[in-house]
Amino acid sequence: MLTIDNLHASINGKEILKGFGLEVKPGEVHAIMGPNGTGKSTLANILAGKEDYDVTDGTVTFQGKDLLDMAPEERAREGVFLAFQYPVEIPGVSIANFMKASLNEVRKHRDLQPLDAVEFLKVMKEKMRFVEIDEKLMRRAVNEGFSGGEKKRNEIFQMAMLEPTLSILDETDSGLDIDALRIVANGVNKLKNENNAFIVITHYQRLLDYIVPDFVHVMYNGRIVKSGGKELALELEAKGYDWIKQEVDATV
Amino acid sequence: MTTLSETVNAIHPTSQAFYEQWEQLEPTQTPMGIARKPAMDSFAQLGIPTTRHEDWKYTNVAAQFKTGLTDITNSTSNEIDASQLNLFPFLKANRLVFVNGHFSPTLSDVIDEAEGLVIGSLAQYNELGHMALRDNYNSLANNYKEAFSALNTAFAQDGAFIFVPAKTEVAHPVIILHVTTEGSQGVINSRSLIVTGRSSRLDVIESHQYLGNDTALGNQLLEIVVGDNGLVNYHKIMTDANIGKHVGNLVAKQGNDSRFNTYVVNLAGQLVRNNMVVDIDGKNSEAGFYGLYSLDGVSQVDNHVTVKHNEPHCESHQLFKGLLNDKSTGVFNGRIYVKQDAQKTNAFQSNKTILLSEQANTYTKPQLEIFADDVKCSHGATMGQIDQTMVFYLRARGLDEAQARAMLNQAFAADVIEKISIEPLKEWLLNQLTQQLTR
Repeated sequence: MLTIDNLHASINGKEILKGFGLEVKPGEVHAIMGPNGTGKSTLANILAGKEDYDVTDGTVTFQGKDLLDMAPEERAREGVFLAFQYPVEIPGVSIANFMKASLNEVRKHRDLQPLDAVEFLKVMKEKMRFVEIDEKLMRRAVNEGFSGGEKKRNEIFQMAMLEPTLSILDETDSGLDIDALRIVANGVNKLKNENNAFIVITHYQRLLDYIVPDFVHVMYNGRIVKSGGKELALELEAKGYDWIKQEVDATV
Repeated sequence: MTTLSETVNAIHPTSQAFYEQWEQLEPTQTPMGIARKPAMDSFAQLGIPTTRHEDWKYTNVAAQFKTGLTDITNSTSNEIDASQLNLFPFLKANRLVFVNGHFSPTLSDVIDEAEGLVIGSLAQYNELGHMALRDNYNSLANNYKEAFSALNTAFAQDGAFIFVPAKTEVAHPVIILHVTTEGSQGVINSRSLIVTGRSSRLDVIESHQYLGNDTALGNQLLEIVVGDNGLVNYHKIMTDANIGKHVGNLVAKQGNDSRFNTYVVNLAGQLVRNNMVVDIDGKNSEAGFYGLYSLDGVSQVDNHVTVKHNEPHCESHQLFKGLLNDKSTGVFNGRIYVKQDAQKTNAFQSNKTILLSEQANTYTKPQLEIFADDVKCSHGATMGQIDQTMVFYLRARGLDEAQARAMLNQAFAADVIEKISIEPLKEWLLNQLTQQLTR
């Protein structure tokens, strides 16, 4: 589904990704962990198409297509979804209006008829129950005045609406209380099937108690330095990242 | 000592004809007739304001007088095909239509009736000597300082007159439609007066429509008296293509326990000046001023708002938003004046502008003059461009850049229109805005 090969990227002349590689197949959940400042969010933003970065080398192939060649909206329509670490507040745009426009663009791309108001409302209510989000929130402006937990749940709600093929969760768990974390994780688990895949970027192991990954990768200094199964996450939680840093720094 | 004729002549080379035209107006003993001479004297003193005048710094209105000051109200035809006009067919409403300043009985339609209620032509009720007109005509206009008020008072021949008696709620809005025809030159001085009694209610929608690119300058003056415990919602709508030349003066005064709201929506306008001066002369009253100017081309809209808090326990809100594309210019000048006795005043003012083009200009000038010591007043102004992180967020959900920008612009501008309480008008304006932003 997704092949990232030898990806190098920099921002303002500073290299952040230094030969990042990853292969994701349908039905898989990959966790990317690592200390702060190792390029985890940069990776997420580059996959979503944020234009502030210069990709200097490497390729990203999504379902046989060159992902880096697509505009952000094309990626979204093709089925790539980024749950933002810091969802933006958009005053004046209601979630319902926003999601209707968004969903219908995605449907158009998939040669599906746009949903009318009644059909849309039905889908929206169903997905709202799914992420245990208050219906009142839907009439409010996107993320405006939302608590941290509400913002993150809103991201998962949007994910449920758009039914992406590849979802990237960028530290969706940071700053969440245990209830919000459970809701977010339940949302992901219910959406998971053999045709889609998830990349879960996190700083803490806690989320992985709820979303069980098939693979855990440790990212350090712009690339993956260690990969393993879900037990690697537990080891990291117990021992921290210093032993990984030492291992890597010793080999350089 | 120079004569009035000579002074007027110095204002403009074509002014001699203009002065002679004024002399021909019948000096009747009606309220309108009596007011002409002092107003003309005052206009001769003031002259047309240039950009050296602080209040006219950004709006070069003198340049609009190349075709002369001659009032064309009587010289042009008022025959017009109704299909050329936007008569707001989606609204059940009373309609007063003026073509080049003339009242058009055929295009007008008054549906609301009540004991003493008047919805009609100012000229007619001036002749009839209506009591409310006698008492209030020219009582608010500031002819000694405002050149366009003076010019209007000197020449005005017709406009709308609305009188709402006490305890009368006018069921449907009154639409006052000013039409200016193609090829008209000079100035159209139209004058309206609205007087509402105690515990009454009135919704007014004033619309200016220009049928062509070569039109006279509309110089309009509207006086509104809001009675005790009354409510007046005033809407000024200019949505035509970029052709109008318009100076509008709105002067109002409010009684006790009254509410007065103005909604000024400009989605067009070659050169538009909206002056609003409201005196809150009663206790426990509220005034709201909401403005949107979403402009393109070389349009210029200049909003000047002055709210005078003369009595305690009153509240006023000003919210003006500009969305400026191409080479358009938006000006906002808002003044809050709080008299020494007007304690417990709450007065708020905000002006926000988004510049959509590098050639667009915005000027904003908030002024607070507060002489009371127990008040809550604030003002704020922001100007900037569309936030790229918002655009990216929407694009990451499948909207293309144009859609994302249109959605953000609409959201920014819509909250002014959302304040309008006439539901069909609100929907229509939101639709017009969408059309403009997705053009």
